[in-house]
Amino acid sequence: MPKDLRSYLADVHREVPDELVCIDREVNPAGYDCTAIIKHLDAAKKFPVVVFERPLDLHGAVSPVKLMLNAEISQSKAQIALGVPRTMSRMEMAEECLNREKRPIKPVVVSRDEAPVKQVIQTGADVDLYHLPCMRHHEQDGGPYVDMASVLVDRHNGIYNLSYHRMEIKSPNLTSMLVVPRHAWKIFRDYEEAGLECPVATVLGHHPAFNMGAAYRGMYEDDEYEMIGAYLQEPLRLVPSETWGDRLLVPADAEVVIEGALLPGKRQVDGPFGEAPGYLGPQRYNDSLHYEVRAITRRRDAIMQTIITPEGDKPWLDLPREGAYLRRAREAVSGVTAVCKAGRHAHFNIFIAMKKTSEGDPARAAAAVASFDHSKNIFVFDEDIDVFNPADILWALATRVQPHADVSISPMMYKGNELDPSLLDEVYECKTSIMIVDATRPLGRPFSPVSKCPDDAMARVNLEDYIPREVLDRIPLDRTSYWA
Amino acid sequence: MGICAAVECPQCHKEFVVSPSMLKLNVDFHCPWCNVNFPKAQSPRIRE
Repeated sequence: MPKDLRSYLADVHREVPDELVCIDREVNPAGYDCTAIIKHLDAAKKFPVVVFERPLDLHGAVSPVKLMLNAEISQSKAQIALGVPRTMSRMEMAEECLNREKRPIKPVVVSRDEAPVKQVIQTGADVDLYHLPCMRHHEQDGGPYVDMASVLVDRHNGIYNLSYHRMEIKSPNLTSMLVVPRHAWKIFRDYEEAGLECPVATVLGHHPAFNMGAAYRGMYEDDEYEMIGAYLQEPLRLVPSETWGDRLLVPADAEVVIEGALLPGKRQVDGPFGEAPGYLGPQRYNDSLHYEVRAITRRRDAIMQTIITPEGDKPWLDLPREGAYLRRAREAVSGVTAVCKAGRHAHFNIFIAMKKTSEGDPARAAAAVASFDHSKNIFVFDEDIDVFNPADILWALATRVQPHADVSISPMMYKGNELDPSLLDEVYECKTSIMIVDATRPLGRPFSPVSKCPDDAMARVNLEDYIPREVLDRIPLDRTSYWA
Repeated sequence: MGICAAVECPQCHKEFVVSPSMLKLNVDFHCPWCNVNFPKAQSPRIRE
């Protein structure tokens, strides 16, 4: 059986049954019901997969489509999605993503009869986005949004590109689609400059490994359907779209696929919308495309996915990036052991751990990752610092940095990331300065060792030999401790 | 999406954020609070 959202939910139910929650009470996604439920769970540090069985659609009726959030919102879910051991560390997971990306797997094309996503087909006058349980995600969002991966194809070389875009529902057959100047923009502009409609499809639900592969950050020439196959560890099954036929293939095992055309020369007002860094992205126009929806296909009992800005981690998006950053850092300095850009605190902060052999190694590794536009504040640590632990990071910054010697700040000359609310310039002159902090211990002189219990004593002393298990289990986690 | 301006809606008088590039265009704003569209000239206040 091919991997899809159903196989993933079965895996979750088998491995972590308490982390799959189905809500059968009626909810209004456009009235922030689902947002409030997810945010309450976030505040309690609980991140189950949540399936809303009876969400209202934009007409106010119970939708025939269910709604799901939090499919990949924690490391344990990402481990299940990737099919890796639950004992695998975050860094090992990033390396696993890198290794899979080195072995892309070509997709296969199946017939319409073999494609679950073709069980219900709506075209022409039957197209109605309002029948989907579209969410208003955040206060001040411009309207209901969909925000999963969209598919475009280069009209010259047939290379497929997937990326995440916010899409404001404007009418039953119209959305906007915000596209920043990267690969998708390049593809669209090529069509637009030729006066052509740009084929597009949006995948609203699939196996989380599909969603992770769609976040791949590599060369423009890399076919991203092949990368998704690498993440799935099997060929991605594709089927011709209703709107474009073989010109635009779509995932056969998706839950819901929206198909349409990005019209040349037309734009839409879009936003505001709560973006990944945790702030509202402002209302925009110039880079907000006109997405005319011409078909909606889905499974009969489809489960639509959407993403909401998490309070904490988003491994489905960060792991592919961490792999890309790790690869580039190691190309510069082979002693790099880990790269973290996980979580809201790390959105434009990059934390690198390394075993340095030269005092220039930290700056070289930092310069390598500075080539990504998510890199603004780059911190480099020794290998003994857990760069996924904010307490470790702050401790090292407090004790291993002399600002006058170890902090370098550049002029405002690097392309910034459009989601950064601290930018001082317009999007088309979107520039940022970057900061590099060397928090590594010096090589050329003594540095106080970290105070600790000897390793042999830690190995020799078994806690349960001194404190019975039943007593240990009764000791509560002390949440008054700052980092508990 | 970094730098932003703040536009006041002429109907509900609530503020929302827009890209400064929109202030140079002849495009109506859309108020996310009350769902009305209005031209720049009708906004009681725009902060940059």
